[in-house]
Amino acid sequence: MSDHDALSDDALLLLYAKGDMAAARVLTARLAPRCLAFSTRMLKGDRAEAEDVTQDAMLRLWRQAPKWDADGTAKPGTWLLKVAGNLCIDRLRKGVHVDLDAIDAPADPAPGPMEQMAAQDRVRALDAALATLPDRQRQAVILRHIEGWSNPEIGLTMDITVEAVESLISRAKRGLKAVLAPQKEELSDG
Amino acid sequence: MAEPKQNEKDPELDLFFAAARTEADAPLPGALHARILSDAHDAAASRESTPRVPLWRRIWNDLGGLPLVTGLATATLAGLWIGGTSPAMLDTFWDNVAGETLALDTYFLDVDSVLEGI
Repeated sequence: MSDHDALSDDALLLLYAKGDMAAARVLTARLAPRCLAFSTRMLKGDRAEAEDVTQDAMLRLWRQAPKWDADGTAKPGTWLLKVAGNLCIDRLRKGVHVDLDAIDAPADPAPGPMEQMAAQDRVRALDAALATLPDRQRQAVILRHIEGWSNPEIGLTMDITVEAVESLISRAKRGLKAVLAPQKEELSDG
Repeated sequence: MAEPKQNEKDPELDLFFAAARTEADAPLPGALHARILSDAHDAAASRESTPRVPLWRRIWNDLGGLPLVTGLATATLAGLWIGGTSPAMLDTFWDNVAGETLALDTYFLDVDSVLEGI
């Protein structure tokens, strides 16, 4: 464990702004995987587009570094997902090709314990169900229930009220249940 | 991370969300990792190669540079001249401007007398 691993994301970003590339490496390892997972879900499983979005969002973070307000309310991780979310919505509006069949392909073909396989099945089923939702509902429910953001944080990011966030999430969950209900027995027991 | 409140708990979906939260931290593909770090290098290098502009220079540029400052200086000198001139001279000046003749030697030194004095 290096000295950098103990530092906050804010501190690492400030170090990077001063030219410390080790800080950039730690920040990449810490923030980019989550950004990629989020972008992949937002883009309905299009991994190649999600990688482009992740690279673009990280580049914007590097450019933002010299102007970063470490005392501000935004954290690099939340800032990054906000940027990635906007980039994903832009791409979806431009009609990015999305191969829904690709969602069913396992990310890791290596067999694991039964519980691990069951979890992977659940994730694939959830991702397929998320892909059927409208973009804004998908963004809200991912941020709330997978990324663990609060409703006010989501409202700030999406420029809507907390009530609107709750409404989006409520409709999204109804949509998810409608898709997942037929698979409930198969996927719930593990 | 903000955990869902009790009234937001949903047994039908929580199992799915929990599985997705666990899988969210899969390792980054090596090629993407390399591209991101390459961007970080490039962004840092471009910052270092961009010369810092001193504060006075930024203010100078914001004001409009040499043309605007020259105009301001001319207006200032004209104001000083008008302020330092007696009302009688201004009356004469106005009469001459409004009339047919303009005797410039009232306001400026006679060139011949200056040359004689050298």
